[in-house]
Amino acid sequence: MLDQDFNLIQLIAEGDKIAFRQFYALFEERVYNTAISYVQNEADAEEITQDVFLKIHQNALKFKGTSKVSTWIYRITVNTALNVVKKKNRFSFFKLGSAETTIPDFDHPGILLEKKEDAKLLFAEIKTLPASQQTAFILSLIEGLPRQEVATIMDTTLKAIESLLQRAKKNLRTKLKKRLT
Amino acid sequence: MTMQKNVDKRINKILNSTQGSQRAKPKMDLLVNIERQIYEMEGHIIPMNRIRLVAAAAAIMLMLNISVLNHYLQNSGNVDLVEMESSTSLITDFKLYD
Repeated sequence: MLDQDFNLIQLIAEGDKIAFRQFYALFEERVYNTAISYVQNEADAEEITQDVFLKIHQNALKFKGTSKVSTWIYRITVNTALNVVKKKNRFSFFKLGSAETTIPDFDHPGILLEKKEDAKLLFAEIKTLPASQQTAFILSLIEGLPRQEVATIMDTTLKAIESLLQRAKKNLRTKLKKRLT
Repeated sequence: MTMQKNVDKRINKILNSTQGSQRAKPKMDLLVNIERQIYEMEGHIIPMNRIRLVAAAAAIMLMLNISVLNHYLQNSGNVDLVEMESSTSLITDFKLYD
């Protein structure tokens, strides 16, 4: 599987359109699901997904296989998503004092029906976490990636990821407690 | 105490609410949009080989022009001398008065 991914990247670098479509089919959900967990709306998540695959196409030649292809893809996705979130936060800072302050709850399309209401509360609080805790949480507990892989994607140690997850959960508990009491 | 326990229970439920979920899927035509953007970008990019070819041709033309100009400048003095000599001989050969 890993060699297949690398072979596809090499073919994409040579301009192979079919390889690009195959690659897209393999990774579209991973990219989109990660993106939507950050931005919590479909339009922005689609834009991020487009940007990510354009970057993949433009940089396929530069990818030398020193890391797993999936690691590379997740890195591009996380960085692209965080840039979008940063831009939106900057924009909303300048809109302080405007009448509209409520943000609609995010209904993740993949959540089981009986868990949707709880998931809405969770996503509302994930948004308030610092970027590194948010990333660790999204990649580990929403994308379901092994913690070592999360550490590689975030270019840090396993210990650091475990610490980030602990802090993220602690923060989420505190915020949820405030909401519920 | 019971209320605290209930709150903690609820919080755990919320924290685990993404378990068993499926990945969200993007809409079907997203790939079409991506491919269109790639196609548009490729249309505006001039291949590097073509740029190199044009640059090489321009350099050759420039060198040829410099070479011709150089040759002309070097020989322009001799041409004047030859012209003077031939015009002098013309004049002396056709002297009308002794």
